[in-house]
Amino acid sequence: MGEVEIRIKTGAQLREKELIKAALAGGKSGEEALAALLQANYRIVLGYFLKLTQDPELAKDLTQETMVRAIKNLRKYRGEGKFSSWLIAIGSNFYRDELRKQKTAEKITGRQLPASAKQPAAEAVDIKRALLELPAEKRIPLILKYYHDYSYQEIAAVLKIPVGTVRSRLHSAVRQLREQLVEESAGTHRRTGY
Amino acid sequence: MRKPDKRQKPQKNPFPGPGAGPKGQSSGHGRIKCASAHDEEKLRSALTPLKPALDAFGEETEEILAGLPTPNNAYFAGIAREALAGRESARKGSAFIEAMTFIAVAIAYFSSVLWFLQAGYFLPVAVYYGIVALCLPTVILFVPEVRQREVNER
Repeated sequence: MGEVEIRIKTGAQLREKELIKAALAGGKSGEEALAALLQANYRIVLGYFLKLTQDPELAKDLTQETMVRAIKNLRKYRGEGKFSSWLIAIGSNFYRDELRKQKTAEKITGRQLPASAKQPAAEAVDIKRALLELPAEKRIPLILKYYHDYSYQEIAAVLKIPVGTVRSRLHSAVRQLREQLVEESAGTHRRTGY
Repeated sequence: MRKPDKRQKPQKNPFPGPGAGPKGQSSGHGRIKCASAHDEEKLRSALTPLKPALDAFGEETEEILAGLPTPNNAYFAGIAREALAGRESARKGSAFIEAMTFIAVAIAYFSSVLWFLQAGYFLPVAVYYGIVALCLPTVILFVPEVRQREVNER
């Protein structure tokens, strides 16, 4: 089973490399290769932004802008690591730049997820709010670590910060999340009288 | 009685264990890796109480993601075409600016040389050109090597 998985993975990586080579060559076939490459990685980037922003429309816009930036800087891709990781690095830096540019960061972070068909659990609502209240500097490493299983070194490379900073931001993010959730649950208990 | 000086550095163990010595010394990288693994373990345990909530949020996001369609190939081809066209025009623009800057610098340089010659500074100009003629081959020969070494070191 594991062997089959590895073979599929290697096959996908080979195909990715071929597509990148073709895209770099340019021309009509290059354009097609680029389109295929972007389509293959679209959902990974969209999922990442969805977790980061909790807003599908914003996540779509950020994903599109990330793709455009990736195409413009394709020659800078050195083939180290997966293409999706490179896209996530571009997207993270773009998102941080945008937040920095906007003085009213609430425009981006303040939006809420639209109500899904399934009623979310109370703890999910709490964690959503707590995650949104985390500053982007802490939220990005936490999402990369927890949902994408990045190592400290990988997060440091994505955000262009030292590994020690990643470590401290992650610990601080977890501490902040725990404190907020404890506070909220204490507030709920107080309100309900339990 | 005089108190012991706390600033004094602790003495090395005079009886090192079997792991001591050149063979027993661990590399800095090894220690960093070990510390990193230990730290990741600490983080994992700190995240344990948050795990159910984070997993629920992850599942919810996956559900929303499943409801969002992936655009067709034409959409991505359109993005690629537009971005490549933008990149091409940006490249042309920067090439034009580069060419203009080169021409402006060249004109300024030759004008200054001409001005010096007209002002009667023949000898300084001749000495300057002599130095350039001597040094330029050296610079051309060694600068790429230095740059390559820097790249390799990086």
